[in-house]
Formats: sequence, structure tokens, C-alpha cells
Amino acid sequence: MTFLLLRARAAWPQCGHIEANVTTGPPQWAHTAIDDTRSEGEGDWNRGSSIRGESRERRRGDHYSNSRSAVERRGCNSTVVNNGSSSDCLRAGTADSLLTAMAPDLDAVSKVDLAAKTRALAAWLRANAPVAIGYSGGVDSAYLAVTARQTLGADGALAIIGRSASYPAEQWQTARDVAQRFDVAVLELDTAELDDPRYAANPSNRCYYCKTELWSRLVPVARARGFATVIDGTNADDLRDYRPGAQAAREHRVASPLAELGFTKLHIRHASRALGIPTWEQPSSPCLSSRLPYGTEVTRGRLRQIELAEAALRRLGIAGDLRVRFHDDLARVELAPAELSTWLAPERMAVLTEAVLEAGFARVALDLRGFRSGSLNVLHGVSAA
Amino acid sequence: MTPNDVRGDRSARNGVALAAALAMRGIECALEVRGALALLLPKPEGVAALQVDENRRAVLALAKEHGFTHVAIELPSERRRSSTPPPDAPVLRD
Repeated sequence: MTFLLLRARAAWPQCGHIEANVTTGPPQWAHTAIDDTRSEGEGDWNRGSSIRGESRERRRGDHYSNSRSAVERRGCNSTVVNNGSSSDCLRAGTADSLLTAMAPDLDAVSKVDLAAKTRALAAWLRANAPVAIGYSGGVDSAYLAVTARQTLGADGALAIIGRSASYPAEQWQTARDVAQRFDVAVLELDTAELDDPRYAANPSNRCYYCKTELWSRLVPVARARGFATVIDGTNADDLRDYRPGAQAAREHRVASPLAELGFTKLHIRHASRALGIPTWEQPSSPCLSSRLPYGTEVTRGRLRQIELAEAALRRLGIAGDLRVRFHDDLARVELAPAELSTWLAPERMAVLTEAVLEAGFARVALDLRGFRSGSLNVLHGVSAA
Repeated sequence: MTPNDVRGDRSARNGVALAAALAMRGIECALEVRGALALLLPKPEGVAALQVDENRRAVLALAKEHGFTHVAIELPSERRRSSTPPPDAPVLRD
């Protein structure tokens, strides 16, 4: 029996678009699991009702076991799983074929607009070549580095990684893998933001001190190697967020072509996918210090504790959004909302708890709303709830 | 009394009220207040209830009503069992 797993990340009407594709698919697509994992906003809660309301030959469930029971009952020809199962969970439990369909996102991004943006980016890069990229291996900088390499050739682009305790080893590995795969030249520098007491004190503009340290080391090295233009992966969405690090970039004359040309995260994910860059579906990955509330001192030990805990949870199969927020003795784990029911099951909860305790926390809590970007900003009143 | 004391008192009062509201919804738990974070220490049946999306949504709505921006459930651990208070003990501190 074959299942087709679709990942839908937008509003229900667009999920309907996916389903239309499914019903015209080959017969073996008859049993369909939709992993509906939109992770922001309270719209998550309403989607179940929409799906139920529209259900005809579908069965909607909270877990992959619902897919099984639906099929066993043979009362429906497709199954919608809209909460409680990650794509990995579904794949392991019910799906033996996988199609990752981002159709809703394709609908949300005009292909014409994206094509115009990518052309504009190539033109920008040519006009400012050669370029050095502040490179972390995240979604944005990976796209920028690969595009620069492909547009300007091997000598026209240099990706520079700033390594420190706040930079997760896992992401460093991703950065290296992507660079190797796309033949992007890489240079690695050590940065020492933790040695700056203004950074370690963890004020709300902590990122300013981090980026100041990064750019003050990176820019002179780049220029000494003949790269007059230094760029970063800041995107148009970032401009709407609280990003004190952007000021440091401006002070060091670091350009942000993606933001300048109006690339949103969604644009970048789409363009990355088109280029085959594996980071296209990677969750956003800010530095480890973002897990500490403002005012809580950033230390190497704490960052290590957070990194170990998150790595342990990744090993348990949590592939989507994940943060281990540091509250002294307590680790508050934020997962994608779709994962919550799964991990509140007693046996999974025990495994999760032990994994985090092993990292050195005394207590573990699971956030009931799930992951939200800038969660600690909200908690401390820096941004609105 | 400093502004922090006032805020702490208010948070504690909100915590008591939230715990009562949760109990009325059938979710019995102790509650620890950490600023705008409400940390629930539920009984096992309370944990089971929170597996249900609708219940989590209700908890989040109640917490918001009581002034909390974040709600988390402390996960029970064998390691901590000896040092934790009984789950029905009211734990309110800020």
C-alpha cells in the first residue's frame, strides 16, 4: 500500500489546491497523508475545523495512526493529518513514498516576480563583483553564496564563516557541506564576541555587539584579499523585525542585496529549491545566544548546554522548528505546534525529558504554544505577543 | 514596595487565578509563575488532557486572559521525583 505524503504550509484553501493535484494523480496516490505543519499564528487551530468541514472522502486525524485506521476502515480514499505528526513521523509510520509539495507557497510567490528578483540579484552581483559573503550556512546566506558563485565564478565569490561558541557545530557542518557541494570558496575566522562584556551581559541589542565583532574581523580580511564588496543574507522580512545587528552591518558598509531587492524568506526558499540547495527547507537558525533571555549572561557553558540539548532532540527525530530556551535551571522546549501532541505522549515525553536533562538542565518544560520566532522578545516585552 | 514587587504580586495573583480557571476546566495543576511565563505542573491526567489540541488552545487562551504571554508544562522526570513537591502542592513564586 502506498502513501503519498504532502507537506502543506499555508492556509486551507491552498491545501485544497494540493488535494486537487492528488485526486488527478496516479492510482497509487489514493491514500494520502497531508502533514500540515504551519507553525505560526493561531490559524493552526482553525484549520482542523476547515478540513473537517470540507471532508468528504477524507479522514482527518491528529496522528499518523489515524492514517492507518482510516485505511483499515477503507471508508475513505485519503487521510489528512493536520496536527501531531511531523513529516518524519508520517514517513516512518505510514508513508513509503514522499513528495514534498510546497504548492501553497508556490501560489503565494509569483513566479514572475521571483524570476525578476533573481535576475536583479545576478545583475547586482555582477555590478559589485567580486563579493565576500558573511556565511553561516543558514537559508539566506547559503542561497546568496551559491548564487554569487554561480553568477561570478569561482574567483568572484568568497564565503566567510565566523566561528564562535554561539555558532552551532551542526550549522557549521551544513555550511561546509553546502559550500563543498556547490564549489563555493570558504574562509573560516574565529570571532570572540563572548569576550566582549557588552555582549556577554546580553542586552537587548546583543546582536549589535556580535555583528560588530564579526564584521570588524571579516571586512578587513575580505578587503585584503581583494573583495571590495562584503554582503550578508539579510532579507526583506528581517527589515520588519527587531534586528540590532543590522546597524553594525551598516557601520561596516556591508550590503544586503536580498533585502535591497525585496527577497522575502519565502522567495529565498523557493529560489534555493530551484537551485537544489538543501537548506531551502531548513528551519531558521539564529545563533545559540538567542535562547537566553535578555539580561541573562551569555557564557560558553550555557551555550554548550543549549547546543547539546538541541542536538539531542534532533537525534530523536525532531526535524522542524526547535528551540531550547534557557531559564536558569529550566529548559523550555519549543517545538513546531504540529509536534506537540506527539511529544506529550508519556513515552515520548520521557525520552525528550531525559535527552534535555542529559545536557545539564535540572528541569524541562514543553511550551504549549510551540515554536515562535522571537519568543523571548515577547516574554520580556521587547516585542508584542 | 518597588515596582518589581508590585509586578511580582500581580503575577502571583494572576497565577492563582489561572490555576483556579484551569481547575474549573478539569486541568488540575500546580503553577509556578516566572514573570510572564506560567509553568504548569499538572497531574498525570492533566498531561493527558494537554495532548488534545483543543485543551491546549483553551489553556493558552486562559493564560492570555490572565496576563501570561507563555505557558509551558513541566515534564515529569524520574531524576527529579525525589526533590519535587507533590503535584497538588501549590507552588507560586516569581
